[in-house]
Amino acid sequence: MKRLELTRREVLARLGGGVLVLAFAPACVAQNRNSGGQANDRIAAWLHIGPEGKVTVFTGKVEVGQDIRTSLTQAVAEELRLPMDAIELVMGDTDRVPFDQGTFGSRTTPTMAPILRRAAASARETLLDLAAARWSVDRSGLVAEGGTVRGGGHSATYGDLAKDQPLDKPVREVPLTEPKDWKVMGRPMPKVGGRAIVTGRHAYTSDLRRPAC
Amino acid sequence: MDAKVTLRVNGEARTIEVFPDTSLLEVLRDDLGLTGAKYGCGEGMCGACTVLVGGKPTRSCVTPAAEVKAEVVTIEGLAQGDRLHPLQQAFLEEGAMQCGYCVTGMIMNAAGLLATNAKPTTAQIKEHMEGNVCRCCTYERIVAAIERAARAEESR
Ligand code: FES
Ligand code: FES
Repeated sequence: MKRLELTRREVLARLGGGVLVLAFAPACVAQNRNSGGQANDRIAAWLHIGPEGKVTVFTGKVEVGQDIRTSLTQAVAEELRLPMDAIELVMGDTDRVPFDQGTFGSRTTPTMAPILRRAAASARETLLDLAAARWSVDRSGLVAEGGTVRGGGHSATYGDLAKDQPLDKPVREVPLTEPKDWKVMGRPMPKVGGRAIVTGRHAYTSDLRRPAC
Repeated sequence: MDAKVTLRVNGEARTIEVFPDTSLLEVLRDDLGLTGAKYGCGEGMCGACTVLVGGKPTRSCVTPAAEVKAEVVTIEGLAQGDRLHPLQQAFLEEGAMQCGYCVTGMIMNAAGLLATNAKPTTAQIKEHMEGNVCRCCTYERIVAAIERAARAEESR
């Protein structure tokens, strides 16, 4: 009995700590909200296009087997007209990703996928703007496809176009690709990261070593 | 630490110091950095830690490292360079994983089966794999993947 009593006290003591943590929580949220210095209405908060054309996507959602690493990659691939392997997702790294309430309730597909599609479509439209300005041509004659913008006898890779112009532009209300035109979304795809899983190289939380340990 | 043991792991001799009760799983994960074998239950009930010892599927969490005499093969030693083992390939092709935490243990246990029975029936596969738990419940595809791997082996 005595031992039980002690345990209960311990529990209560921890609860007290929990209340304190809660009281400090808003400050953390405020810090996270603009992670990377980017407000969430900017394209750059959600994705970067590297000089070699590699696209890095940032989302607070985490992959725990629902295969959202694959489905969100499909969403970005569709709108940026890119192959799946040109895209890498940074998930749940709160130093780098926009604020997110958490991964729960089957919300990733209805809420995060449209956000990323819109950011990717905005990036695509911005690349077309940049190309039109660079070549002084009418933007309606340009097409973004497979990592290259082409038209009017010109062509440049996404990486080249984005190089001197970080995509620090607001996410726009651009139309998203119609389901009937989908080439990557809405169809089965091999699991992104599957090879690392079957070879034992995928690092789960319990496989990580903190630098000091 | 009271004993030095030398293990052969994935073709390499590795010497480490262990307590008499240090498990093979601890040695693999903590001393040798081979984290492909997973800690699930730690008491021989889930199969996540399965590796081959002398070709036999073995639960490394309940196997004292000091008692291991035969060659150990872990998931990291299964592929031939860039060429995946037929089971690894089949798990990918069948999409036989959700979180994937159980997968390395599943593959190692199935590798032990195919080594002794190249053409198992579905019933034999299910019986052999019975002790491997998949929390995500991917069982149907796991069985399909093992069947696919057996067919692939046969046609080679
Ligand atoms: S961790 Fe070894 S059987 Fe569960
Ligand atoms: S895939 Fe998650 S435990 Fe089997």
